[in-house]
Amino acid sequence: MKKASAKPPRPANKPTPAIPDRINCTPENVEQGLARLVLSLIELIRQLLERQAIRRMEGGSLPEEQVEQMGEALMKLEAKIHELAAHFGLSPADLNLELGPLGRLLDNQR
Amino acid sequence: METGVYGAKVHTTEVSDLRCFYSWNANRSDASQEAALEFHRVVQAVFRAADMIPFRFPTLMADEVELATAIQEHAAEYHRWLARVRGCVQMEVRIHGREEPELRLGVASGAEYLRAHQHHRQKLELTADGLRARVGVRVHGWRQRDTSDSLRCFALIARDSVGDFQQQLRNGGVPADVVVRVSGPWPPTEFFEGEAREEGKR
Repeated sequence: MKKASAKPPRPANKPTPAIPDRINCTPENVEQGLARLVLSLIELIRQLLERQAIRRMEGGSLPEEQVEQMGEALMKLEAKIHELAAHFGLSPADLNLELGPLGRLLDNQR
Repeated sequence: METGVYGAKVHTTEVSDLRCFYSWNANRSDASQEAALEFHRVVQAVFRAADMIPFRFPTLMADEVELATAIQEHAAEYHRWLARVRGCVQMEVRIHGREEPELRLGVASGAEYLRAHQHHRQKLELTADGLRARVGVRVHGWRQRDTSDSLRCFALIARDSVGDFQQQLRNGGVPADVVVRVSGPWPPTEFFEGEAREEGKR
């Protein structure tokens, strides 16, 4: 025990303790660190949009033309995210940031 | 279990009828892989002997007074959680597709792309439903959580039915293009907070 935690103890939400996966922004890799952060957020938004699109598709509220347009946009966005990630030496798994007590960024879409 | 993280002695104290395990790490506040594994070893040792609530590693306190105050403040909640999962453990079933998700990028149209995702998700959910039905009455609680490329299912089961649970899941019935990984027993952390949602999935 060394310093006070800001919050009261809460249980871990995983069986194994998570090690904070920090974005390591040194002068040498600041671009990669920033790219990882930005691409992670874009990927999160893309996945949320995709789920919403599928829900609307299942609910029958999307005409076929819109299904095609939304699907194409999401597909191109996913391809572009992969392309940019690769450009910065990142894999898709690198975009799933560890958020400490909140778990991983892309693992909590209930 | 004499020592914990960084070889520090594991102490125990009792607060509000709760036994708390902790150790002093005055000069170390980093969370290395090695330290996390040591922490996990201590958690598993306690968990083998009793129902417990593992705190996230590292949870740092200034001293025993702050520790006792924090435990006292939440004692009623902790007792409620422990009562809810008494005698039970958590098993995790992770379900994902055998193919790489990127392969869906190779489809011809936007509509196909969305339907491929929809089909993939439905396949995982149907597999989860099938597994859930197979373990049936052995499960006291069940929760599911979507991740970007998989479905994580958490089952709350009695400590003495772990072997039976694993055996039931080994008995086939999973589509060839779906992978199921079972792990546990773990402390039932998914079932501490909120109301039990045995029947509700997400």
